[in-house]
Amino acid sequence: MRWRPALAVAGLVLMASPVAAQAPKDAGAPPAAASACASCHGTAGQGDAAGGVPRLAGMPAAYLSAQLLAYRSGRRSDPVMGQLAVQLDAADIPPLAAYFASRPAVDRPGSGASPAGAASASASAPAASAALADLGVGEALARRGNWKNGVPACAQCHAPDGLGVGDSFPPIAGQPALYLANQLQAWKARRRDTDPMGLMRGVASRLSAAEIDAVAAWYAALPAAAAAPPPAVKAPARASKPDRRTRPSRPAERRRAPS
Amino acid sequence: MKAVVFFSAVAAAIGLACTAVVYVSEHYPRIPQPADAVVTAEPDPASAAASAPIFEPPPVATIPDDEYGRQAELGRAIFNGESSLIAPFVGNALRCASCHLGEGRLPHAAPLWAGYVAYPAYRSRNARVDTFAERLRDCFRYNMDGQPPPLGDRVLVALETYAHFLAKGAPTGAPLQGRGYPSAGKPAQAPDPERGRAVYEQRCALCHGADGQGQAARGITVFPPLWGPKSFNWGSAMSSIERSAGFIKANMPLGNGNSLSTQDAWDVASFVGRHDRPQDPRFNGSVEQTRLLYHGDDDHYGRQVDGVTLGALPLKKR
Repeated sequence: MRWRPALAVAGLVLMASPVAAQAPKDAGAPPAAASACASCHGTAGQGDAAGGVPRLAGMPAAYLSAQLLAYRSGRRSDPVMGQLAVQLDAADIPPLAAYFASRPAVDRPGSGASPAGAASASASAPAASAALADLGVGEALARRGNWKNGVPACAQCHAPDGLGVGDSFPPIAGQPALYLANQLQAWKARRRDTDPMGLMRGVASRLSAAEIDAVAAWYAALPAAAAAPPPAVKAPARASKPDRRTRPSRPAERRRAPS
Repeated sequence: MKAVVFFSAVAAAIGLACTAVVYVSEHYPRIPQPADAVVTAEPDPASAAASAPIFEPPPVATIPDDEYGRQAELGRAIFNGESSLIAPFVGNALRCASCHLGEGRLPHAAPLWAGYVAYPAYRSRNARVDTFAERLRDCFRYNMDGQPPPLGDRVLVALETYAHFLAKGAPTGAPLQGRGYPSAGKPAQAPDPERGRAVYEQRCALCHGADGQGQAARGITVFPPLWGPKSFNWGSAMSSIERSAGFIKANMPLGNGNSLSTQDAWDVASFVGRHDRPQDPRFNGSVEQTRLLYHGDDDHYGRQVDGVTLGALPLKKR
């Protein structure tokens, strides 16, 4: 009968649908090795603010790989991470890093991100009042640096929103304050040396303990993910008319223009 | 009688020559010499350090809460690339703060407070006395590879107000210590771009990219491009190898100024300068003439590098 081939095809197609439904749009299921990470970093790599455990979700894959290799070789030291990393095969690392890099870096409760903190920290539209009032120590370091002590603004390398750029300048916004402060102390004391060109060791060595705590708190309160892009600002169709007497810009124009 | 005639003829000839010189110099731009550029290379910072302390601009927190203060704050936001008002006038991926470090406050990184009190001043580049606003317009024309705002435009007013705020209390009449970029000194060997390539890979590429195109994230330039279509054009003073060597030695890598040797600074400046960038706005249709008039040996404009003539890109339509 003619309906049998059609039914067979439909049946095959329907049998395949659960497989298709399960395939997530981003990375696949977590690699087996990720189960060892979940107890501290969370199953989706969200981290733990109270424990000072960093968020892995949304971090650049190359940066995560570099840190795992550093823990594995002992170049970066941590009692827990060192033990776990040596149990990894080198080949385990890229898929692990890619998995966590693909996880959304959503803000989580208890992360320290507060609406007020996020609003005043928005680097894309600094409020006039925030600019005219005294900035807190942390915000000042983040946005202006302390050039008297040779400290550039953190934002100059980690981007104005603190979400980093490229593989070597990781996101720091929305990381636990305790984690950021611990790392800055480690750079300062030369206990960590995985920074290319010694940039972080140089910066941290010129920060006081109070400044470290302040800037760590500042960044912990920033959103961990980029906000939706603002609506495109319509640039003026032409430059605004000058409201004062203009001068021609060339001696030749001076001769040509009627005075 | 003959002697009088002879000497009066000589005098007349001399007078004619003087008139000719005046006429020519008024109507033909002189090839700019480093000596009379307004933002001159500073004397050796070591000797400068022995003299008075460097001027300090007032803290940003002291910007007053009035219309003047709002203009100063707007100028600061524009300077840092945080305001879209600047967009119609900028043609590349740079912002003022890319090279005027520390929001235009940092000594030896072309601070605004030192620039502000230096104007009006004669600039041989334009063969006339420029006001501070006209000097700002040249920043847009060359360094930002863009279209300068007309005089009186609110962008220029805001930037000038910010500069005026930073310069509060600074004396006029003499160049301030910390002005512009210091001299990088004289290299022991002639600058070599191949040695400079190695310096670039080790000390610069991490931030500015192996391809020199900088790094951007989420629509914002984080590390500026050093060459190519999105960088400053050939008319910028930063395309001068001597000038950029001075900037590099004093300020780069960021936060680690004065860590490169004089030789390394010159070598890497020569390497960076060996790449093409947008055309000089003064281009008159002939690369060779433009080179003779405005570049000379200051940079690699008009030179052949890897079979390509630098400075031959078409002039951007403005």
